[in-house]
This record gives sequence, structure tokens and C-alpha cells, in this order.
Amino acid sequence: MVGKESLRTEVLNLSFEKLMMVECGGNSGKGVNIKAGVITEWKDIPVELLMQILSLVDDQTVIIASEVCRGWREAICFGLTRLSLSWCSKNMNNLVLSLSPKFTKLQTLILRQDKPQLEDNAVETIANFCHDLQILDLSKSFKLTDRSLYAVALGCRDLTKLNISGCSAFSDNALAYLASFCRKLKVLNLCGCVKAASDTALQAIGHYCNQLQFLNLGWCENVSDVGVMSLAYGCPDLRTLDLCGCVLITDDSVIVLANRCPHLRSLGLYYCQSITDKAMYSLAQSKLNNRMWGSVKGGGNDDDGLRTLNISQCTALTPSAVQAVCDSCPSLHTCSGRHSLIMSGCLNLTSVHCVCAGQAHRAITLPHAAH
Amino acid sequence: MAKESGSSKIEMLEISNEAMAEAQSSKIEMLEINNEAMAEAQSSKTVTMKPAEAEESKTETQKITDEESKNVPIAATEEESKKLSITKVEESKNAATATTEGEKEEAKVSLKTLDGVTFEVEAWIAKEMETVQAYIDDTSADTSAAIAIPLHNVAGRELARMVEYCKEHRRASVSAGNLKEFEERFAAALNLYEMKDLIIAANYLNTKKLLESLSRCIAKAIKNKSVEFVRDYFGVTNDYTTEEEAQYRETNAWAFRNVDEDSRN
Repeated sequence: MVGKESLRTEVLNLSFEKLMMVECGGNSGKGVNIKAGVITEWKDIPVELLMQILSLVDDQTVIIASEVCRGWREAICFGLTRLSLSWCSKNMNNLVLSLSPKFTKLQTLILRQDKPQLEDNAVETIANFCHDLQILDLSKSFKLTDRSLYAVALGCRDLTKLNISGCSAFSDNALAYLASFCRKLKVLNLCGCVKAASDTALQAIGHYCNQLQFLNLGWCENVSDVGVMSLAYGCPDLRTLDLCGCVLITDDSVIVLANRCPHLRSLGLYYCQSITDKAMYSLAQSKLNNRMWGSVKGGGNDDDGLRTLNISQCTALTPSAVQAVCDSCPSLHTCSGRHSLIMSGCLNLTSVHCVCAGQAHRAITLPHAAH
Repeated sequence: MAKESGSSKIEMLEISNEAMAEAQSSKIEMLEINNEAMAEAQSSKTVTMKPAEAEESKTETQKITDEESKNVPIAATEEESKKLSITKVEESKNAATATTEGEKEEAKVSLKTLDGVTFEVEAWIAKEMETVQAYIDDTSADTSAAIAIPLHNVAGRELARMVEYCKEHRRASVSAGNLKEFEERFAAALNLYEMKDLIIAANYLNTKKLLESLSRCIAKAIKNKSVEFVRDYFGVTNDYTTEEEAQYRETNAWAFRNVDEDSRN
């Protein structure tokens, strides 16, 4: 009986050992100072534990920790998936050159600069070593040339978010090349990329990047209806499109967007002075059509329609057309608390109000009627 | 040569047959052991008694309830009998729930540390240790109650601290201010080696609250400090070559500045 009891406890012990095996940072026991299953030195703490601690500190401290000893460097290189070097005001290029070959598991890399530091060799190193990158921010990298975009296209094909706003040296050919390789792109910020954001590049994006949801073309003055219409046809899942300062845009672009992009939630048309009432009525009509079609299919949603619309400085618009959009999109607000229909500079549109404002207005006027 | 090889083959066959026979016998032995265990379990579950013995074995409470049942007046109508039966059922239900609640309060889990110390902790504390809870869920309730759960990577001192933390945390969590104060006090009472052992134990047993609390404490201590400070703080020896170190210092000079005075060795 005693023998059987000990046999039973032994089986339990074994099962519990299996259940609670400790992995010592991928070292497989070599060189790890462990006494009777207890880790005796800080350098041997498990990878997931070190990463848990480092998830609570800033990126500068993470880099410092990676240089404490080989064990920690291996652990961090294996476990680190997100890194931002935006805090680095000097020497960012050298830092990227030294870190990229080590941190090969990175999925998010933020390299936004206030003062241009990054050069092509650093971006090429990133592309050569960090093949798992999904989010890359290179904004304000004025020194970068097409070499960087070609390298990213070949090395980081899993990119879903790319921010190259302010990278004014990139050409449209390089951007078109990138689009043909990085087909998983969902978010693309091209704000201020005057040379890169041309109709040719947008046609390539529309052709290859069919999952695109967010596109910022702010102040890309060379973009015309041809490019925007290509986008609308190629990227039906577009949710946010910023065309602020794209002065060549006309009603044709907005009409196609309204009809082809049912999920469009935010549209920026600041300073697009060629936009007329025709565009507004097409937006209003398409949203009504979407809602009707949604209710037929049983998927009607009150939140459907535009949530943000910027028509500042679009001086050709009349109140009735803008009011039609406002009425068809209940998420658009002119009231102070939730200001999402932006009309600054359009003095003739002061009478336009959202549903909330209308209700408030009626609530105020009702008591007077009683008198 | 052919003969020799033939004889060696026969020998090999004989050996393998013997091995097979041994294996068979050991299997039979194991089966017998299992059967015995099964039989014992069966006998312990189903105990047959003669009526007289059964009467004697009844507890006092059972006897009282029997007497009460004798005194219960016979229902005049069917409706009354229904009412009586309903009230009886409700009473028994209430009694059952009361006992189970009592059992829950008293329920304890035995944990055996690597240095052989056995702890009896409340079930809610065991629940905080997710690895232990997973083990309890995987095994039957009877087994986990009967045998101390072995913790191969946790020493008695660490487990005692974890139990203390769980209890104090529960008391302190009445207000956010108290909780923060308690966590600071708890961390301040530990030296670096104790903290290391405790955080590894917390990680091993997946005690989330303690793990987060200690991680915050360590993160706070090393935030914005230099490489040398972090090495001193954790007592980690530098295993880089002088060339590697020089190259790193050249690239990232900022990492070796601002060593705090209060670094713990």
C-alpha cells in the first residue's frame, strides 16, 4: 500500500514538472547558474520576465539593458518587438546601424526626427535585418533618397503601416515600386511628399495595395482626379483619406469616392476650392443608399457614414448641400462638444447644423411657443 | 563462420524472448497492482452492513432526524402532503448550500516547496497562483486535496512571502492609497537577492499581481540609468570583450553617463 502511494505521488510530481518546466532564456541550461532548480543570478532570469520588466521602462533604458551582458542582449534581441528612437536628438543614424543587426525580431520601429539625422545606409541596414517589420515611421527624414524606399520594398514586405511624411526627396517611381512589394499596407502617410505622391504612384497603390484603409495625401499638390479615382477603384476598404491642399481635386474624385468606398469615415478636403455642391450631394446620396442597402441586408448601422469632414476654405459650397450631408451622416457634428464637421473660412455656411444642434434649438424655442 | 553467426542469432533470439517474458511479467504485476488498488477503492466506497450494524453506525444527528420523522403528522389531504414535501426539499437544499459554503471557506490546498516545507494555504490564495490553479483544474479534486502539490522551483521562504503578499494585498485593496503604500512597503523590505528570488517564483507560479508589483519596482530603479549602474544594481559581471565594450562606448556614449550614487552592490 505504501509503495502504491509513493508511486502515485511520483506520477503526480512528474506531471507537475512537465506542467511547470522553466525555460531559462533559450540557453538550454548551458552556462546558467542554477542550484536545485533555482536561478541564482540576475543575468539568468527568464526572457519573458526580463521583457516584462523592460516593458515598463523607456526605450533608452531597454537599449542600455541590452548592453549589460551577453545573456541580456540575447534575451532582448529575441524578445523585443517594438522600439522607438524618436528621443534620440543626435547620433540616431549610428544607433540604428548598431542596433538593427541585433534586434531582428522588431515589428514596430519609430524613427521620427525633429532634426534630420537618418541616412540611406541606416534604412538599408533595417531592411536587411528586420524582415518582420510591420510598422515603420520614417517621418521628417529629409536626407533619405529613393535608395531607402527600394531597400524597404525588398526587405520589409510585411509592412502594414508606413509613415514617410515630410520625406520630400522620394520620387513617385520609388513609391510605386514599394507599393508593388508591400501589398499588405493598410496605413500610408504621404503628407508633404510632393514628388512621391503623383498620379502614377497612386495608380500603383490602387493596383497593388487593395487592403489600404488610411491614406494621408496632405499638401501633395500634384495629385489630381486620375490618381484619387484609381485609389477609389482599387482600395474599396478606404476609411480615412486626407486630401488637404490637393488643389487639383474636383467633384469627380469625391463622387467616385462616395460610390466606391462605402466604409469612408473621414474625408479631408481643406483648401480644395474646386469642390462644389455636386460633390456634397453625392456624399449625402451615397450614405443614404448605403444605409438602405445595409437595412435590406440586415446589417444596417446607425454609425454608418462620415464621422469627420473638413471642408474649410471650400468657398464654392452652399448651406443646403452641406446640410444634406449633415442630415445623411448622423455622426457629423457642428456642436462645440463634438466638432467633426469643420467649415472654418466658409462664412456662408454658418446656418448648417447637426442633429444635436437642431434638437437643442427646438428645445429652446418650445417654451416660447407655450407663451 | 556461417555456423557461428547462426548460433549467435539463436542466442540473440533467446535473449529477446527472455526480455519479452520479463516485460510481460512486469506488465502483469502492474495490472495486479492496479486491480488491487481498484478493489480497495471499491471496498472503501461501497460498505455493506447488516441492519443492526447500520443502526449502530448511525450518528446522533441521523437518529434525531429519524425520531423527528416519526413525529411528523400524517397529511390529511394530498395538497398538504405536497406542501410538506416542498418545505422538506427546500430545507434540505438550504442545509446543503450551507455545508458547501462552509466547506469552501475551510478548503485548503497543500503546497510542497523544493526545500521540503509543506504549506497549507486557502483555496483563494492558490487561485492567485495560476500555475497551481491549472494543476488543480487538471487533476481531480480528491487527488489535489489528498497530496501536497510539489513546487520544484520555489523555496519555502519565497512561498511564505507570496502568501503574505496575497493576504496583505487583499486587506489593503480596500482603498487605492493603502494599496500603493502597502506595495511600496513590501518592496522596500526586500533586498535585491530576495527580490530576484521572489520575482522568479512569482513568474513561475504566475502570480500576476505580485509579478506586476515587483516588475514596477525594478523598472523604477533602473529607469534612465547608465549601463554601469544597471550592472552594479543587479550584480551582473560584464562578459563583453574590451574591444566590444570600446566599440559600444564609442557608438552609445550616453549609456555610460549619469551613474547614480545610490547604486546597490
